[in-house]
Amino acid sequence: MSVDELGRRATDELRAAAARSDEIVALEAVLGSRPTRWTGARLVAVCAAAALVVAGAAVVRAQLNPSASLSPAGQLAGAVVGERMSLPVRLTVPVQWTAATNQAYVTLLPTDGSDRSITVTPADKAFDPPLYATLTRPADFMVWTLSHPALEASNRTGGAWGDGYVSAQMDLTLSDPPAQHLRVAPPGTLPLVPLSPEGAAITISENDQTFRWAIVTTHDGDLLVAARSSAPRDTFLWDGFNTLVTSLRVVPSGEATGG
Amino acid sequence: MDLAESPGRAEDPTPAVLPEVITFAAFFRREYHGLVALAWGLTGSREAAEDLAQEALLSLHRRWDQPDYLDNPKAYVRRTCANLSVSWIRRRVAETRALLRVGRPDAEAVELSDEAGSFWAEVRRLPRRQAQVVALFYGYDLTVAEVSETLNMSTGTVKTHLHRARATLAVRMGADAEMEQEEPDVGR
Repeated sequence: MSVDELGRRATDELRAAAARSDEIVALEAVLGSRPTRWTGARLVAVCAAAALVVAGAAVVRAQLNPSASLSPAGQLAGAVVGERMSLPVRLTVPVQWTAATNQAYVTLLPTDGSDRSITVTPADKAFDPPLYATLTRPADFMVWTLSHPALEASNRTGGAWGDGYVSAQMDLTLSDPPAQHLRVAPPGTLPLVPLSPEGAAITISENDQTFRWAIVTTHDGDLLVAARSSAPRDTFLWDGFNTLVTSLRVVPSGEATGG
Repeated sequence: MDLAESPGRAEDPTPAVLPEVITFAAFFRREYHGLVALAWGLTGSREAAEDLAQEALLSLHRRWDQPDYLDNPKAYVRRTCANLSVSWIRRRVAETRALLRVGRPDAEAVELSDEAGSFWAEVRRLPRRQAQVVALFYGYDLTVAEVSETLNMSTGTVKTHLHRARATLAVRMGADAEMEQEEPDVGR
């Protein structure tokens, strides 16, 4: 066999494998990392990408509360959890970033159509991870949404180390914490974990490439954590969640932020 | 769904002089998987390849409004990706140290056959420029002229690298170094 033939065959395999890479997530990671003013075009772009994300969240919520509905554009209609949440919410997102994802965007999407966005620059952009580092799959997409009757806060992070690991952590402090426990879907399959009054840092790790998103929301006074598959079938692994998540750790925010 | 228009493109009067007016999102989708394959071949890591492909595209994205870079965005982003890939090993050392500190086991998935895995492993053992040329020539299916344009080197140099790489790979893989695609004209 010639080198050319070997090269062609090896290339065919490589391309087939590379084609399974999720370019939507990658695109959002790139688009979301470019510091720029929020032009209308960019807003549309991010909202469009966010709609894909919100669609995943909506599936969760729809199962939790039949009153939640998904608009054709993928935006949530109605607030499922906001009634128990008082604003403002202080959010910090300590994450590991590559140069490609050196900023996190916290986007507030009021229902009046205007955008209010702030940019969060991670405190630590070095390779040394925080002491409570979360390690998930490359280019993972962690979505955190808070809903309020008049405001939806959506935090999206994405990125990867050169080694292929993204660290996505959320240190959430609510001014009036509604949640007393952490619950993992399906209910009852993992023990309830008490949260500290000031909030919690939530860590999710997985052992399977099919893990893609983590969605943290509140319902009935709990925090609910769910995962979405990145498998080609693109199914929501509600029932299979426990098989994917190998560890779920909740630590008091004081410990998380203080190391 | 077309996800994005690059900011400012709509108001930019220069697109008319560009060879092809294309949104960044469309360009991204056209190039992303090829870049992943290119970086994967050069690094041996799917995760790293995805990261490097994004990094290369981000570099272009930051210049998307600058017409100079749009003269040949494909060459720019491929060259960037190839350069990032061959320097990845240096970063890898630092990351490995960090990962060891957090105790994460290295569990890189094996997704290629032995034959393909061996081929790309041998490519990575080649000198840096030879590896880049091979990765672009085979992995990206570029012609010698296109590789030349991408890496900003003469076609003669590309052919020399390709010739030497083929010879080395033939020995290491027990293969025939006979050229089937493009006959190198070494020394031209």
